[in-house]
Amino acid sequence: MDYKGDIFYIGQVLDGNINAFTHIVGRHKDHAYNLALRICGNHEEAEEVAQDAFMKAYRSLKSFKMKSSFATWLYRIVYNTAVSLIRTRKKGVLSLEEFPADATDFIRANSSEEEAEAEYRNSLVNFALQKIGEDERALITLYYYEELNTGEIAEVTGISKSNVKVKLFRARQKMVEIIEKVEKKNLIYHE
Amino acid sequence: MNIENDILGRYLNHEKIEKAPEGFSEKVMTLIRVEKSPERVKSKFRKSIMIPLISSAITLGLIVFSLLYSSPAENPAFTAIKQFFSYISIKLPEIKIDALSGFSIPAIVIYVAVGFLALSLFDRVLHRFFHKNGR
Repeated sequence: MDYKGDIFYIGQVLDGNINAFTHIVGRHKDHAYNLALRICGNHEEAEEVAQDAFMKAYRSLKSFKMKSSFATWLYRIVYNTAVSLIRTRKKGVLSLEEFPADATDFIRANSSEEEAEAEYRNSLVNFALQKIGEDERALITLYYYEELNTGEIAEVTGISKSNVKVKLFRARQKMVEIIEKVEKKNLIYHE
Repeated sequence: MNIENDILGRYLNHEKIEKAPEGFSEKVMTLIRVEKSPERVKSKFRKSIMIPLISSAITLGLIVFSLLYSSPAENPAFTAIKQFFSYISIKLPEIKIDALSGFSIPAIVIYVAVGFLALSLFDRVLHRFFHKNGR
């Protein structure tokens, strides 16, 4: 993301040109939505969280000190908003116990095997993500999808760098176990 | 950490960023337009020239007053003021410290210190006046 471009548009907004915020939203909406979706697990809440995050960013734009990139600052807002929403959710919302499909369900008439496999893996990863805690989901998303380093992740989540490494390791282990369990089941089913 | 060599990295397609739904930007901008703009507080022209105007007026006033006050011509308007000031006798003591072989702080230092205090107070009042609405 173009760091200089963000600063330019932020300056424009602070000088009274509200429409300049459109450029900021346009640049960051997909990443903000992606993070919110991975944490919340559904599109409706992800959209609500992402919108909320942009509103909060707009309101506190004056306080953006440019110590980090705007993206990191925005991710922090998305992360806090998403985690707050999940913690205020009614308890007892169950995630699926079993992965509801197997690889063959993804092979459609008009898609290549490669696309089907990619979609299968994406669904499997999303399923595994919902099985771990919301902060672990955030860590996985920030590390693998947003490709932030542990220092930047520490800035977003507010936890120490060493803690990020430990939690990331544990989250990764959990997800790999879940994925391998599903793969094993599918293998047994097809034998 | 190399994502490609990572076990989980092989499953995750880190290029697969979920796209925000259509109309997302428009929804956000609509919500923002009803919000108050976070623009920097722009001082109006009138406010921005107030400081130099006030300080010029005070300086001019002091100059005129000092000229008229020290003027030999009899001015009824200033005679009463002159008389009033002649009744005020301000004398600040000289501070002598005998323990330090009669070291003394001259009276002028006290006058200067009091002057600084008075000016600081005046500055504080002006600062509050001009920044009461802004940040």
